[in-house]
Amino acid sequence: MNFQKIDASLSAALHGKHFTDEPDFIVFIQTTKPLDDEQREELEKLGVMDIPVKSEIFSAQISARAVAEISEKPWVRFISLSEHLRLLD
Amino acid sequence: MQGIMELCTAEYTANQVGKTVYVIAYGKHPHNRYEVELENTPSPVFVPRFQLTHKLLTGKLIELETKFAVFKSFSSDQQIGMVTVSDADGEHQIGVEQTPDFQIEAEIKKLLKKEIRYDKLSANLASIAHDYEKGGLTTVKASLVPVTPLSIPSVGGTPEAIIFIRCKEDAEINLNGVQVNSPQGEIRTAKISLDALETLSQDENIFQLDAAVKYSFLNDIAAEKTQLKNFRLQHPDLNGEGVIIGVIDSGIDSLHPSFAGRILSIWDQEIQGLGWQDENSPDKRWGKKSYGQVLTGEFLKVSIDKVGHGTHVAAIAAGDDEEFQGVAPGADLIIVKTSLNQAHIADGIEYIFSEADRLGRPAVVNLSIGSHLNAHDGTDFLSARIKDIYKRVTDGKIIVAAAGNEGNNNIRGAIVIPPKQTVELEFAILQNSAGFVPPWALFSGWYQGNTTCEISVRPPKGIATPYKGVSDTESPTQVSIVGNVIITITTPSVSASPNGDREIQIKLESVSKELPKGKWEIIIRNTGENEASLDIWSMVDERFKDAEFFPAFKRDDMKIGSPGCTGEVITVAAYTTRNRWIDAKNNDRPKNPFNVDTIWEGSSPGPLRNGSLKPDIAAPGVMIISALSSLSTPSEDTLINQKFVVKAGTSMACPFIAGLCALLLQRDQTLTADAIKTILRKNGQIPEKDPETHDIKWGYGLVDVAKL
Repeated sequence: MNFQKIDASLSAALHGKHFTDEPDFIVFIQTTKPLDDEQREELEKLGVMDIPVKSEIFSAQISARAVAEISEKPWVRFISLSEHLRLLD
Repeated sequence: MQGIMELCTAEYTANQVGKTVYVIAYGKHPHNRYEVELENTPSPVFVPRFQLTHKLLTGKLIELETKFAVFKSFSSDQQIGMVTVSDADGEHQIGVEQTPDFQIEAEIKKLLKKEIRYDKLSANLASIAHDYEKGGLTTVKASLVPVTPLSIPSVGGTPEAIIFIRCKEDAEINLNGVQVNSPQGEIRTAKISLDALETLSQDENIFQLDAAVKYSFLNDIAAEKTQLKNFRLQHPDLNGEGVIIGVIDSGIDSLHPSFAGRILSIWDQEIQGLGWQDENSPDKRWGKKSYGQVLTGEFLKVSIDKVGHGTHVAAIAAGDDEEFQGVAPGADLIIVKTSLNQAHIADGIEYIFSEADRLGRPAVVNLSIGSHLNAHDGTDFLSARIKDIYKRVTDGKIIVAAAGNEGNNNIRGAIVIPPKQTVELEFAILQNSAGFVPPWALFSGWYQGNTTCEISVRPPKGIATPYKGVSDTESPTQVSIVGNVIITITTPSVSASPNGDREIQIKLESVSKELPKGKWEIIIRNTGENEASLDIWSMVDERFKDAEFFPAFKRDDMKIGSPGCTGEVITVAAYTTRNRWIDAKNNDRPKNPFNVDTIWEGSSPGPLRNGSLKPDIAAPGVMIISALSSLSTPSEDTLINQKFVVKAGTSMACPFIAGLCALLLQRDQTLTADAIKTILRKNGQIPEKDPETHDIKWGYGLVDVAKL
């Protein structure tokens, strides 16, 4: 796990968790540039589906193990936990 | 003539604009009717209102309310000695001259050449009738009298109005051009053609006819205060037709009559399904999402809105109903019922834009949602997704977001930590009015990336946790248990922050369901060579009282979270147009402690943490009556009737602007977000401020729709 790429919320959520394959984490992934086919395939193997073309930021529902592996990719810049918002009334 | 006030004239000038006032009195004879006629010149900001106060020689005051030749009748056998005219420039007293009686009779005859019994008409209805008599359809169209609902045909036909009729209990009203809602009753409503007013008013069983102002749009105050009513009268063809309004929210009551036939689809993210896929854009730019279910047609009702928020919001933007009309009642709706997860919200925006592209139409997305778990500078990941989406859009794609409701909430703190120094930032955990204390609290803080701080937390009367510093190699999270509280401190590397600053996050969780009450301390030790300026926000469960910063650390700015802090979106503050309402049980609901006709105290202030100006504009958001979802269970005191409920917040202000964007896009489908922001900036107004002045609460002010 490359903690330099994980934000506070995701770090806290991962802390103490066993690195299972359950897709428990909805995250944002930001890459250094749009993915090529090989990179896309690597992410899909780790459970990242529906990656938009020509985009450097996208979301995924993945496991803790996948977060760890993805954080090690040199072309991945950040991984952030997707938070819940509130209705504003 | 005994019993008839004499015709008189008066002239005055106000603000260097010449206005001529003709005061025509109403005498005791029912066929005599005097009108006040005002020739108005354009007013830069508001529609002029004039009140005439007639002071009798006895000293008694009689008030005439006038607006564009409309006034309340009064009778007097005294001469008018002095007329007081009030307008925005102040009060002006005018001496009047008397006019010989024969001229009075001539004026009366002139007025009575038609048969309408003006003595039976209310001021507003008389004004419309007078305009129609004078100049027909064109004059009525140009009239700025806000008699509503008034339907003006675009081609041929006569204008129609909804009116009240006060009549004999068993009066038979069976006339061409008059559709009465009930065959009996002393008070009835009717839809009438204005041509039928003559015959209707002559009916001896009818005593009074009143324009259905009270029965008009339940959002009437908001529409009036923003000049939306005037805009509608000037542009009756602009209603949002051809534009899509996307609402990402708690869903929608698709069976509510306000939306009949105009919900194109619902993507319900919370039910099992196959999701959707962009198959139409050349580069399939919107991709696909494999969760949730898209519903159309007869399957729309499968998705429900139990919360009621989404239904209320959608109707403000685009509801169409005789009792309520949204800002863009002709627009179509695409609904995303969201889980409120940031990633799913971003997916929802892509779905709406994908559908808009497929249909070749412009679209506005409404986001009446927010969070403070971010840096409040537009660098969070939802904001980043929105920026990325904007790289892929063409013109005519707009996103509107609510500013937030924390204007009065003590959720924002700040402290400066000199290099090599240790400081303590104090906050309190408090009980709510029911005596309950939050079970958890979350803090999100940011400071400069060119220094490093270590963080410790001390609960009330407890020992402090170990310090947690920044590490690039180890887990940045430390969990401590102090008493019955789990204290999680996370201090990630600066490399993990898109804005180059350092983030800290502190979570307090009670194992006994309630955090210890009292004073807590966040102890910050600056181990670096540079000063650290920490900005921090607190969050607790909405049912509980905020974790509040002590006065020395409390700040009243930078409370616009994400997505309101996204640069590309139009961020909307809330303006108070109403603080009372009548509920379904006819209770006059007491005033909330809101000041009316000003920015709502609870609207979150800007600017952003990086100094960028937000919010962008203000719109009515308190208290707003709009569609009720039949499956929701609002509190009784907010229920207006079986179809409408009152709510408040920047959630309600946001769809007002979304609807407005739809009207603008109907007029010009190529408008970009920047272009619309410019239009709004130029047409917002903060009282007593120069045009295009920005304020951290008002943005560029309350939008004046009539100027758009």
